[in-house]
Amino acid sequence: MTTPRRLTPNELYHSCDPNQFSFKTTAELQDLKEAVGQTRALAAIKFGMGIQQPGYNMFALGPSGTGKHTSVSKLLEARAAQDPSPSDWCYVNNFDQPHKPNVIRLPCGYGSRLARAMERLVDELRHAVPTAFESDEYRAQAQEIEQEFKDRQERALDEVKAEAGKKEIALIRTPGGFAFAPIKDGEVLSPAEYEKLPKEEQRRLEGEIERLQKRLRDVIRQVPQWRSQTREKLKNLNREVVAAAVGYLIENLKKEYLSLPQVLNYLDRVEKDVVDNVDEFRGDDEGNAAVLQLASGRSTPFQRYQVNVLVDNGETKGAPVIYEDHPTYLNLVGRVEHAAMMGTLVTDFRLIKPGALHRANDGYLVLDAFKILQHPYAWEGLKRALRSEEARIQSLEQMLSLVSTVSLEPECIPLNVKVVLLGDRILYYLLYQLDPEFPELFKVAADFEDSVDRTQETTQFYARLIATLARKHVLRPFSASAVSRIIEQCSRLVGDAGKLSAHMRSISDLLCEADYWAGENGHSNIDASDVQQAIDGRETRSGRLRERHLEAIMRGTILIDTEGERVGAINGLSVVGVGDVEFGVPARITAVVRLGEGDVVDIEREVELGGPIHSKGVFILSSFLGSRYSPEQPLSLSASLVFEQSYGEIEGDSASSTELYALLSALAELPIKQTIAVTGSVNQHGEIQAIGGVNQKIEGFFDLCRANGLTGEHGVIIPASNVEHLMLRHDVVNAAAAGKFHIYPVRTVDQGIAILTGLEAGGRDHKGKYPENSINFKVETRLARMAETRHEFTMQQKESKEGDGEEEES
Amino acid sequence: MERKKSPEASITRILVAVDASSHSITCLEMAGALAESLHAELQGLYVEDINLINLAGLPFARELIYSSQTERVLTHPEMENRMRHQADNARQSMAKLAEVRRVSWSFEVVRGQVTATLLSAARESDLVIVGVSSAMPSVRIRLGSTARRLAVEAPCPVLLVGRGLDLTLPVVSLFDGSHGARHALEIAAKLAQIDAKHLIVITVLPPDRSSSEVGQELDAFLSGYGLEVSYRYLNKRDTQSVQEAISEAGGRLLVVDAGNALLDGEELEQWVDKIRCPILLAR
Repeated sequence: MTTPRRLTPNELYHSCDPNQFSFKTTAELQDLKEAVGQTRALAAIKFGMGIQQPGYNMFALGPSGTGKHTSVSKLLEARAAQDPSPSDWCYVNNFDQPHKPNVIRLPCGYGSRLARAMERLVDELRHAVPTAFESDEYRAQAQEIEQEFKDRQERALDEVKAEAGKKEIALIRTPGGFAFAPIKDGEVLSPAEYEKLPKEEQRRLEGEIERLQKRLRDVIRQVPQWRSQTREKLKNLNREVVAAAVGYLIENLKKEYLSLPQVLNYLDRVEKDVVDNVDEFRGDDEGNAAVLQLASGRSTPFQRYQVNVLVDNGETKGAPVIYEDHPTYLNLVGRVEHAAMMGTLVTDFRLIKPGALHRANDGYLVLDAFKILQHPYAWEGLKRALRSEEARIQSLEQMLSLVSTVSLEPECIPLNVKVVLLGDRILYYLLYQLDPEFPELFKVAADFEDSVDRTQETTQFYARLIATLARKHVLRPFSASAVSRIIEQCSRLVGDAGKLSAHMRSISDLLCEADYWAGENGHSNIDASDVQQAIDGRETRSGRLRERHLEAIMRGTILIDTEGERVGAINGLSVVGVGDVEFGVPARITAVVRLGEGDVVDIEREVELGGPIHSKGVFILSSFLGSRYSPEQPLSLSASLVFEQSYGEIEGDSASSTELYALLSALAELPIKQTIAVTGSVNQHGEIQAIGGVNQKIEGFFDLCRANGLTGEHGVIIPASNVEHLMLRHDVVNAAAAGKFHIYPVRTVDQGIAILTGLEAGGRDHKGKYPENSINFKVETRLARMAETRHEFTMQQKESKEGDGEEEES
Repeated sequence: MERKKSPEASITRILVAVDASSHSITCLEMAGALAESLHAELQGLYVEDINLINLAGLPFARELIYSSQTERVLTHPEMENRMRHQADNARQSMAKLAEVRRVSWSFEVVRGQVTATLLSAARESDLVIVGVSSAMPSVRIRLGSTARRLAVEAPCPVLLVGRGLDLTLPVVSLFDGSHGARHALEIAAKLAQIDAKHLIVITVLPPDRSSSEVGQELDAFLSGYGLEVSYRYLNKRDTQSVQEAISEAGGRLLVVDAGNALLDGEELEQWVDKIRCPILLAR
């Protein structure tokens, strides 16, 4: 038998040579401006920022911790710095419909200026208006108007009274009003005296009184009208007085905003409102007025001339880049707050608060996709704003039509914002598939890589990345050897010797932990030993489960042999993942065969502990057996496969080759070396295919073998296509170098079974026969024998049935 | 300067004319306060106006209600009933007030001509308190015929009440150097002593006297009352100037000599309208 190839230590671990670096420590390196290896994603973001068409918002997708936020923010900030500064947005009172506040757009910095100017104006009005009303001219005019009303009313009543007096009739006050009565010598006629009057006179008096009553009624009916006219006259007088006082102040203010028609229009409306509501400025007792106003749920008179500077960009340089960390519906679209006053909740335009959309207007808004989907209606609110290109402040209750109480309906603000969502790929794909609006609104996908190719160039970039992160987190400088070790660990993290992890958070964590150990060790620079200590420390901290599992095997609770040989039993390898901890664990897989109808029973599947991919692997075995060893006749075996002492769900096909080896061993009745564990999936042609977690699986078996004592016989069979993924622990590599542990790469089942049994698998000769004593020969022979036995058994049964039939006939 | 007999001694019976009007309630309250301070007896008088009773007996009697501008028929029983109710209410108000003020009181209901009945009762009293209400609805406070006749014809001082009394304000007296004005000032000083302790004297300077001269005389006259006294001197003697000075002083009660020429005839009505406090016509 040819000796199977064993991997050299160099193949087990792709080290990073510190000599390739020209620096001593990372302190000598410059910061990295852009993320390494994310060319595709960054180009997508640049494209998304540049294109000025609706719907070209961006979704940066990739696992969390890959530096999406940092990369996106850097790009946005660089771009935003070149963009023009955005406008200020102010809400002001709508004097015609106070529940629909008006919005004013102003050049940046003008918002707070206008607010201050309006405060000054109100202050001036509070003095100017009462002063205007204190003038003698005004008082005289007002008294004249009131006098006119009094005179008019009294004249009319006196006329009625006088007219009545002429007819010897008096106007008398009754407890409820007025009445006319005939008099004599100033006194009302008694009923008896009246009766004595001639009938003619009585009729006259009654007629006169009837007429006088009608006249008095007419007069009294006119009084409210006269009063109203008087009020109107007084109002007009007040308007004239105020217009003179206010007009001057507002004209002065207007001069500062000549180029802003919205402001000029607003100031016109303010002037009109002040004139219309002059009484509010005249009140001597402002306190009482304020209380009354509050009680009625209205703002105090002067507050309605305030300016609510919703977005003040006075200090903003370039376009805003806003990251909303808590993207609730209200935090996105803004809100109308309420204040408790006199036991009720009241609001007005001053209580309108901006949302992230307002603050990011004319700029960029960065949001976490998962967070926005977590908060009810936030996603709907964002989409609606983007679709309508306007920011509409509406409470949730209004949006859902749950309430119909009067509230504010602020005027909408035109929206021009680029939104960048950050999220996992699964979110992007789910949204794309399930939300028809998503592709319309987020047309740019920036797909961040999980890993980057490990090349000379990227290695150098990673050194600078480490330098950048070290400075960002205020860490000690890293020596070249430490950088090498970190880069090696980056390969290990991604489980591929030819790649480097792009998971920035993991790298940052490792750097911080190495810095801690350097401090503990009294190192001024961080070296490779500190990095190794950080890596080991992390494994130790998270190693409880792994150690408990190993302990269970060592104590014989879990039956796994690492010595000797067994028929139909083999050491498989699986990976257990809990949280961020992953480790490999050996598992015994056994196979038994008997006469049957060609079924290979996966016991895991029968008890619903096997996942679909695992079951697929087992079906492939059945197919492989049939096609290779019994192409011309039905398989006549019944085999069953099981992961011994496995009590959880098993998924994946990485054990399918292992199961096949166990099956072949059982069929050929050849023992398998228990010193070797196996991983790898197999196809119908017996080719071994790559699997995941190869490093953890090898290390899992290595730990067990080392605990039992390495003899030089121990090893693991892996798919040859997994060799490039190997980044094994140093202790494993060292054991391999010492010849105490071996990694066998295999491409076919035949190679693997040969290693496991020590016999050649054997190939068919020109007659199509396997060599005698080869494994394949034994398997084929066993299967043929089983087929024959089954045939004989079938015939006997048939004859037995026919014999029974004849007997019955006779 | 000779002093007259103490007004406190002279005011022992206060006659209040009551009906259902708001002025009448104010009158009662003011009468109660004064009676308590002066230890006087309160006499309430409700006059069942014979004119109204006669009116209600007429076959065509109708009442035009000012507030609702509607008309309704008046009947004799209804009018009597209404008057009885008003009298009862007035009596109860008075009883309650007298109990609070701890003053002795009496209440009488008399049927007759209102002014004549009140004038007749005034002869037995030291002070008459009457509302200024007019028969005419008006935005002004107008002097009714009853109040006018009492003001002119009553033998005792008359307090005309048009608006409420603010006890925190000082008493104001108009002084022109006359004998009647001195008497009025004395009453004013007594009334100021009750609680406010603050008296404002508006002095219309006689042509031949200086303010310092008059001031010294007044100081001497008022020295025994223990009051805080302010003086305002006027050179103008016309009604409007005097009224403006009184209005600016902002007193709670104006005490003025009933014989002051500025209050003659039709002028009195103007005073009632312009002066924003009750006016006590001293005599």
